[in-house]
Amino acid sequence: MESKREIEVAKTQSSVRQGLDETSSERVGAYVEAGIEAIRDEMRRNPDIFYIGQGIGPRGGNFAQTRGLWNEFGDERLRDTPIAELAQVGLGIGAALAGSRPIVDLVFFDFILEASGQLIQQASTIHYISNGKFRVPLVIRAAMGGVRNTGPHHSHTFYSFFMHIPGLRVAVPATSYDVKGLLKTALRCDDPVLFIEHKALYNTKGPLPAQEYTVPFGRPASRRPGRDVTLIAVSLMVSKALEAAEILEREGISVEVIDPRTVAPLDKETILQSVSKTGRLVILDEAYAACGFSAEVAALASEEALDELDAPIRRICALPAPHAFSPSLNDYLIPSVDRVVREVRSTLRG
Amino acid sequence: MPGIEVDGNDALAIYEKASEAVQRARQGEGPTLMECRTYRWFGHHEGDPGASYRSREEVEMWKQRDPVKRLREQVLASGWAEPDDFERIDEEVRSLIEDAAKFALASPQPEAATALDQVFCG
Repeated sequence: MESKREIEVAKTQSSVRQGLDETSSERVGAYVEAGIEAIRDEMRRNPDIFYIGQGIGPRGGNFAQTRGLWNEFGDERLRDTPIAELAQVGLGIGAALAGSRPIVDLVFFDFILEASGQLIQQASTIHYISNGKFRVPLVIRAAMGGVRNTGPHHSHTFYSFFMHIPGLRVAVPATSYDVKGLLKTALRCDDPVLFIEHKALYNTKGPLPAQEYTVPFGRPASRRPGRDVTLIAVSLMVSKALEAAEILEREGISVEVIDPRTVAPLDKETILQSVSKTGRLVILDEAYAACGFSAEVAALASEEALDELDAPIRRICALPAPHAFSPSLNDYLIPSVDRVVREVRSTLRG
Repeated sequence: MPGIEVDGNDALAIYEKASEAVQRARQGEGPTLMECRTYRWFGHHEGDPGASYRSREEVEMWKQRDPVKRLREQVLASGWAEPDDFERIDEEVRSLIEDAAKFALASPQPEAATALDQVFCG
């Protein structure tokens, strides 16, 4: 007989899955197409949205992430900027204050660092210090992660930095479905949002309904139900978590994979309920362990679910070195499916 | 502060203007802004044909103004060097690059276990 807690968990998870509604779509689309579709829909719907960035106009973006949009919306609403991230974000904040809804595309997420003062000290604080009188409905769009060994300046996954800052929202979608649904939510949100895609996911395909829908912030997706261990991952790491779970299933280890989808806000309940059910928590992150997303989830479980844990919490993260150009070094630094399998196994077997 | 525009593909013109600017600075007369107008022939990175954001004609026009070729012609015309000197320099550079490429291609991939080396000085 199931305990009361297990029944509650099962109920929550089924509602999370319904919230996802991915399985009901027969239409399949690429992750990059999902972003274009969301932006096109929202720009048609809302004349206040405009889009700026480097090479996102007639060229259609480094990753084809704006392909076709300039043809429809033209320079008036979609415009190339010089290589000046600080100016782009500053312009976006000013325009947002004046009533527009700018999308500022930084293309490579690494370059957010050039504009961080604007984002952290201006965009995130203005609503608060104006006592709610001014809003900054700004969407920063960029792609993170290493593909094709591009070294430390084009590979980082710095999204945790922005979880640290009150007033910012941070979305890290793993699927086509979530890109479309979360980007629509971002474009209707009155707070500054960092919408961070993953370069290695742009060409992946998944269910992508043509009809209107949104995915709310702070609502995790259960990617795979399991009994023995809870594995938390976002963005590209979700697919590695699922691959590892498949392998471990053959050994009789049942892994529950949960994708928070947004790390700010970070939903506590789904994580805590899953940990209460499985008694074990592993966090998989493409970024570093220190002060990161994995540290935040581990702190949450130790503060609020310590009694439920049957094993120490484990974190599987990028090793603490800059990204290497050499493929052999970089593959060693970034969590692999093998490493996930090994570490989850040892969490189970001690 | 004076600002001057220079043909960035003319090495001798840059030398001349930069000499004036350096002299001004050394005399305590302050800095000079030099805008040397030049061009990148190739893509933004290896693998970028550099063709999606500019025309072939534009690239071709700039290749006609090759600064290395121009310097060579200016130097030969002035009698500061002989054609042999340039051939020797070309050969030195070519073999330096070839040796470096051979060394890189013949070297094994680094050991994965060295991935955490060199993060700090010691």
